[in-house]
Amino acid sequence: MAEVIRAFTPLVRSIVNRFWSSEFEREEAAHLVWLHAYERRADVDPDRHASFAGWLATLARHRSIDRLRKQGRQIGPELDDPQRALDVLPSGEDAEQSLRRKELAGILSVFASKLEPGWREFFELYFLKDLDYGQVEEKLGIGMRRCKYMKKVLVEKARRHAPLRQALGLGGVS
Amino acid sequence: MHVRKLIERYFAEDLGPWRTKRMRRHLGACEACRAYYDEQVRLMRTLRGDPNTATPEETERMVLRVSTELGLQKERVPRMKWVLSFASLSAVVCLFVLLMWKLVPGETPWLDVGTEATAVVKTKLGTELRVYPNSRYRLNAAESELELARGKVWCLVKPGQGGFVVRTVEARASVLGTSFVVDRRKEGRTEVRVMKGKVEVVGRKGKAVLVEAGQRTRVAVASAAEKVKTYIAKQDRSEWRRFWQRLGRDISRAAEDIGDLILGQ
Repeated sequence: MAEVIRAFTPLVRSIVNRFWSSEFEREEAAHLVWLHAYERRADVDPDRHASFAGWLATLARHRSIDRLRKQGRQIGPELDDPQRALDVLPSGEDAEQSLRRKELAGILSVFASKLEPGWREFFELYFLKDLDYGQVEEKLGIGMRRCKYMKKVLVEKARRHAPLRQALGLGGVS
Repeated sequence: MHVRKLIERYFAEDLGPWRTKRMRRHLGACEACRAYYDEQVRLMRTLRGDPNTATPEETERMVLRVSTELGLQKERVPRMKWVLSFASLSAVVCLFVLLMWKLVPGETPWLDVGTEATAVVKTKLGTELRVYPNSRYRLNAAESELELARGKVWCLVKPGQGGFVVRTVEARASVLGTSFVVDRRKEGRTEVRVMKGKVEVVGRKGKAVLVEAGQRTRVAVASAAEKVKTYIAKQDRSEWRRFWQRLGRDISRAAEDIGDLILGQ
């Protein structure tokens, strides 16, 4: 099950993302989709692997609509159209997105350059090189608790970094 | 009541399953906390390079949550291991120090204080020794002299109870009723910092240097003690205080975890 979730999470996300703007709501919806998918796993034809993605996408859409209705919210015509709602093919990255990503990379590089050496090293290993806690522990010779603490502090520092907030459209620090 | 602290701990993978459930329940009803949660998600993604792409941690959290809920994976019991190991290590070190003093006459063995522990030792003469994490030291049989191989020790010597000496490879610091720190965390260098009273520091070469309250000196291998410089004791005090605050927090978290476990079951 874990492998299936890992493999098909991007698909489920792409469907539920259309129904909610809140990341929390999206996670809750995706979670429900997986619970339903497991309950109804007998419906999947094991000989037709290709159809699984379609089956899961339809299930995700139905669950999302059900959840929206339970919350007493309106469903717009664009979400009610099954064909449009299931159109999950990536549309390709446009120039604006690419520019935005470059801008964010620049801001992060300035942010990292202002950190003290030990913190910068952690930032690079954990966030930029995507190492997990275990690997960072090994490289820096620090404990798991220290890693968690450093992550928490760095996220808070990033949260207070004005250019980053501005780029993400987050408004003032609360 | 908002749950910001829990959200931060959740994203640092430092929140147990019971409180995670409680936090998510709260988020379902609290718009302000949900906004904060969303902000954290976006920040976490941005730090990984793209605010619109889910991080591997998000996927793993989903896997864990679904598997746990479906009973495919046993729910983790709140992790007490590190709290217990931390507290017990400190206790064991202190007990070991006491036992060794009582049992072994003459030369005492080297004692190691772990990276996540400290030791507080009271000598027969009333001197209080605060040994910092990652230190190695031993006391002589009379408990009037401490040899520091590495790390840091804060000595609070009781006035009128005779002198106290701290030795390292590089230096020797002797005192009469004072409070001072000997720091040998860097190999090949000893630093003596005096908070109260006076300390006489001698290197392998040269004359003794008298270090007074608010002053410090350094001694390198086979060298004389350097000239005294000004020293602000705040750093050593706050380092010690931070350690104990952390221990307090660990204990209170452990108590919360136990509470969660009992309530959850």
